[in-house]
Amino acid sequence: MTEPIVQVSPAWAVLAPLALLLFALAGAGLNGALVARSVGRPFRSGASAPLAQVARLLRQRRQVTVAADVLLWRIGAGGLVVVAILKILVIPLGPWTLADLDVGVVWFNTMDVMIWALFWLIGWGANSAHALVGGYRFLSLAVSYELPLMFALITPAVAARSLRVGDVVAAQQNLWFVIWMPVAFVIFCGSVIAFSSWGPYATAVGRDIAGGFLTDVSGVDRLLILTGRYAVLTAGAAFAVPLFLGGGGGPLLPDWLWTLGKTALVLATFVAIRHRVPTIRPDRFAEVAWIIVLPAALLQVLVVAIIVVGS
Amino acid sequence: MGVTSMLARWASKSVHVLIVGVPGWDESRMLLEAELDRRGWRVALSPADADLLAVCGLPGEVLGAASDLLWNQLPGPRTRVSVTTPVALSALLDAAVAHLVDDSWQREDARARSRPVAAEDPRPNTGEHESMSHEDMDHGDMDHGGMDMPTPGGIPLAGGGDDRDGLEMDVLNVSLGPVLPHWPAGLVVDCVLQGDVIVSAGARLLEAASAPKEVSEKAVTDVTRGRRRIIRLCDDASNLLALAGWQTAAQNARRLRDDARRGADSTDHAAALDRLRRRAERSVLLRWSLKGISLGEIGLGAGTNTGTATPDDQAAVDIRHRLIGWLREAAVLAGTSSGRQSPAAGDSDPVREAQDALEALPELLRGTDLGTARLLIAGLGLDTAALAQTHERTHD
Amino acid sequence: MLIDILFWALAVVAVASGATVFAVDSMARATYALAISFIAVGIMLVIVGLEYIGIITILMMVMEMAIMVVYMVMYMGMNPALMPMDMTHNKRGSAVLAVGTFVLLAAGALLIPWPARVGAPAADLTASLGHAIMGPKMLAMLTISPVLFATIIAGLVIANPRGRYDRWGDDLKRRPPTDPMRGGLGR
Repeated sequence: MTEPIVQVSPAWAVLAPLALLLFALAGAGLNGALVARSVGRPFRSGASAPLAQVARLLRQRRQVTVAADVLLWRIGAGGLVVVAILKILVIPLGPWTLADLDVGVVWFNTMDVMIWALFWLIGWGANSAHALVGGYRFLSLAVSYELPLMFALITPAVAARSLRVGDVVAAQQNLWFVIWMPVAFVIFCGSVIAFSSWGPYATAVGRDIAGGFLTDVSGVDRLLILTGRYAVLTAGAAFAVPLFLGGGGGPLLPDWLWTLGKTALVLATFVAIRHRVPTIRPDRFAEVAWIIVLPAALLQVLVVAIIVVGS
Repeated sequence: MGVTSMLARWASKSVHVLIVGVPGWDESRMLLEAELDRRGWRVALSPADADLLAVCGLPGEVLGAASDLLWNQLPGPRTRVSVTTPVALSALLDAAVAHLVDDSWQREDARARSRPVAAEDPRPNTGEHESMSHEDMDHGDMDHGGMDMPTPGGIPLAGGGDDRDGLEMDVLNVSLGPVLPHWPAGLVVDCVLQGDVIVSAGARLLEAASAPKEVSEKAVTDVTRGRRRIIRLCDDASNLLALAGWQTAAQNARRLRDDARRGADSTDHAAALDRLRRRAERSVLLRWSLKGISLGEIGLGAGTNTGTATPDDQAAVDIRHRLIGWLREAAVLAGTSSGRQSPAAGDSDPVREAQDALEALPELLRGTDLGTARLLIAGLGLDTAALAQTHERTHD
Repeated sequence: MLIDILFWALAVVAVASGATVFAVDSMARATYALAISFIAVGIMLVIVGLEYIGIITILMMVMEMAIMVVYMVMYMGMNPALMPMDMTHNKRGSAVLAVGTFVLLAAGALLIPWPARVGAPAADLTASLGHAIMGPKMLAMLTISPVLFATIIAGLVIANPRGRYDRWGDDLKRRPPTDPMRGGLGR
């Protein structure tokens, strides 16, 4: 039972970042637990690892490299969390949303393009070879995932005949979009993992380049970047819910709880994938993305468009 | 209890450790790594992420200087240890933690560091400078056309050069190593880079001050030799898997390595190694990601001797097949319960092999990008301990 | 009232960061100063009610700047992060041109007798924009997009030093092709 989405007072906006950060922390905790298990330590000791990490980084001095472009570096580091918060503004939590934009889907897309700039700036600012290679690797990955992502975002909008996130949710009252647009869903999830520089797509922070754009960041800057990565991953997971998973729709429980539950599930899946698969090298992925994934995304839009026009 | 000390206590739960490997002292490194896993500490990928600098072994002069440079790049709170014997390692690390949480000492350290930097000449010799990235990047010997251009931060401008598409592109001299994650101990590869493509490279080895005391040559029976081989193979496989970005498999290989070091039950061990090999063989993504990355003719000599020879010689030099070959050999060695050496490995001369591999390295890396270069170097399975021996021979 | 202040503040930001492009001494900063200028303009468009156009402006421009900075750095050579460099060329000529253009446009905006609005804006501007593009303006779109696309392809073909015969051999039978970098599909 879904009610029409209402825009709530901006005063609630303080809660949104809080919820986002809590989810990000939970994601980091799960990641820590999985890492702990892989080295044979108790699950629980790893779950508190993010808190230890926060304490460690708060205590650490931030170091600056020679001839670093500190201004751009700091903008890159601080920007990630901001972008993640801006992303979740348009995501309805059950019946409530903070900004019921006409073009919510495009808004989300715009924010993930911001990440192009931010990751590159982090790589650039440090003025060191490995960091710069990391920044460029991210851009080369970005030109591969961005177009398929755009079409994956457009697909639900086509089906709902609206770019408003609320309308997209309403259009799924009978059937979740994930069921009849699975290709778009898979591409969307892959792209979220990619724009968070996460899991198999984490080549920009790869071990082969000593941590890539993270090579030279320390202290609070590092904390902001790591938090920001979890936050954009969380925001991506949360956006999958209104777009493909029926928003707050579900039996028994209230809508807002369903939204949170589904978000947690998607986020947990993303986190669990992290170390389980080998790297997808951006130089090789480019060809796959343009020759297989992009046409697949276009076909998905075409199929959906035909169904929508026909019905 | 104040906020700062509470913060310190929490922070010390997971110390990030930058490991400096010294040729010939792999045993110390593995010992430390196993202990880190046990404590839930993490290996840092770069000095900016490290609290603790651990030098595993006795480094020679150059390597020692490199680790001092790295020490300067640790942001702090920081501390350093030298791991040379298995004795009292745990106590050593406990002392390091006590040092890390000692706020007054760390404050003093921070103050002492900030003083000389402020007084420094703005254009120092970059080699001495406290930043750059931790591979001891040396921008010093670049040609910039003899013009007297300003050099911000003391770093001269990059020169130009034709790239592989015939366009002019900046060339940057970057040294990879001696301290990088999953990197052969003591190896330095001086690269000329255009973008992330290696135009030309030279390889050298930084030496240890002395080799670790052998457990006494007499005690090295066939069993221990076989076990040592298993440990090495697992270590190499773990590094290659980690560089391929497959963390769970790399961790698995590392645990199997540590099991071998502890002397685990060999039949279980062989089965576990076999499972890992099958997992690596089955992974479509690994196959795709490593496809075509091959050691070429260089790998042939080394490859056939490590028992990886497959019907197809071309396949034997493919690093994915090498990886699988390593795991297969380790499983076979563990399976023959006495840990007897396999006949194939018996013929090979590790010193000769390692020397050939080092000489072949520059040619191998030419024209590859950094990521591929790292995979190739890991795929060589360079035995820097053996190399250190040859160096001693030639230098004396 | 608040909206008015925001609008004017954004206008100042847009112009100031536009000017910063020429004042800073690093190409990365120049590029992203331009990006900030575009973002300010995009938000202004949102304020005047053109949500879709405004947000898409931000999207396109940030993406474009992220790519452009790569090209700028690539073409200018000499590791420009470190190298302070002047962002202006032909100072007098370009100053005259810039001021002239500004005066012309500003004069035009102020002096033209703007017609009074007839009719009211559509309820859903995004939808009506879509209808306009796909309806009456379809012919223009159908003409422009193939031309643009053909230009891109032609540019690539002219610039590419390696043709298919270089890759697949004289009889186009070599598999996999000889490339400096292997692609993901081996084709």
